[in-house]
Amino acid sequence: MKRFLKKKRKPPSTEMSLQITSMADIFTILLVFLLKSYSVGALEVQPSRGLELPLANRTDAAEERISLEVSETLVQLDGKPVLPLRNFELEGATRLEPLGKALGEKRTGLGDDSKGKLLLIADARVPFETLEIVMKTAAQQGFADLKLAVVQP
Amino acid sequence: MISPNSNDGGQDFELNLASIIDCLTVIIAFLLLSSSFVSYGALDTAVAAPQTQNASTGSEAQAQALTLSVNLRDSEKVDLELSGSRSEKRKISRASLKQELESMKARYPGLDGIVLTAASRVEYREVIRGMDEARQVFPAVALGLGGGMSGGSK
Repeated sequence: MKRFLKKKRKPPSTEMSLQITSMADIFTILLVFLLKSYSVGALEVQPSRGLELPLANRTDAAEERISLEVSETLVQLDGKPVLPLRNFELEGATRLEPLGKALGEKRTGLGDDSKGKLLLIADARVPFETLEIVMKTAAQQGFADLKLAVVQP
Repeated sequence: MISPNSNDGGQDFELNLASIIDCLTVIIAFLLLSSSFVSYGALDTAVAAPQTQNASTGSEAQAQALTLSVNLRDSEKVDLELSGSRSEKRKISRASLKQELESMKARYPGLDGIVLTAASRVEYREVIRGMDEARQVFPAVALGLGGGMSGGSK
C-alpha cells in the first residue's frame, strides 16, 4: 500500500545546460597558438604551383626585391615569363636576350637602394648549369647581390 | 552578457560565454584559413666575378689574399682549392665538408669568405645544403660562376 502512496517520481528535466567554460579555454589556447604562428616567415614569397624550394637552417634578414623565379618550365621576372625551360633546362636554341633585356629594363626603373639586388626563387631540382646561366645573365645586367629564397624547416 | 541568477540583488551571476565562443570560432576559422604554415627565408650571397676566383690573374694584393674555392662535384665528392699567398688542393667527401672548413678556418685565420661552385649536373638543393653548412663556418659565401657562357645565347 505504501508503495502506491509513494510520491510519483519526477520526470527528468528536458532542459540541458552545456558546460562551455572548458570549451572557451580550449578556444583561447588555440587562438593564442594561431596568433603566435600567424606570420613567422622572414620573407613574403609566392612561389608558383609545383615549385619546390630548397631547405636551409640559417637565413638572413628579409628585404623586398625584384624576384627572378626558375621553375621546371619557365624563368619569370617579377611574375612575368621571360624564358622557357624544358625539364629545368634551357633548350639548345633558347636565346637569353629576353631575360637580359627584361633585367636591364627593371634595373633602370629601380631606385639606388634596390639597384643590383635580386631575389632568386629557384626550384630545388634545377641543375646548377641552368642557374649559372641565369645568374650570369643577371650579373651582366648588374644584379650581383643575390638573396636565395629557401624554406626554413 | 551577464545574467543574474536571482532578483534579490545577490552577488551570484553567470557569464554568458556563448557569444565569446562565437567570436573565438570565427577568429580561429579565419586564422586557420589565412595563415601559411610554411616559413620562407633568404640566404645572402653574391655572384663572384671570374677574376676573383683566380687570384693569380689579379693584382698583387689579390694574389696575397687567400681565396678558398669549394667545388661540389656531386652529392658525395667535394674539391677544396686554396689560392693566393698559400696554395692547396684537396679532394674530400661531402660528409666531411663542415669539419674540413673548420680546420681550414683554424689554420688560416685571415680567410673570411669562400667561393662556392658546383658541377653542371649538381642540383640546386645540394648547392644550398653546401652553402648552409659553409655559412656556419664562413659568414660570407659567394657563388662562383664558370666561364662557359658569355651572354647572348647558349
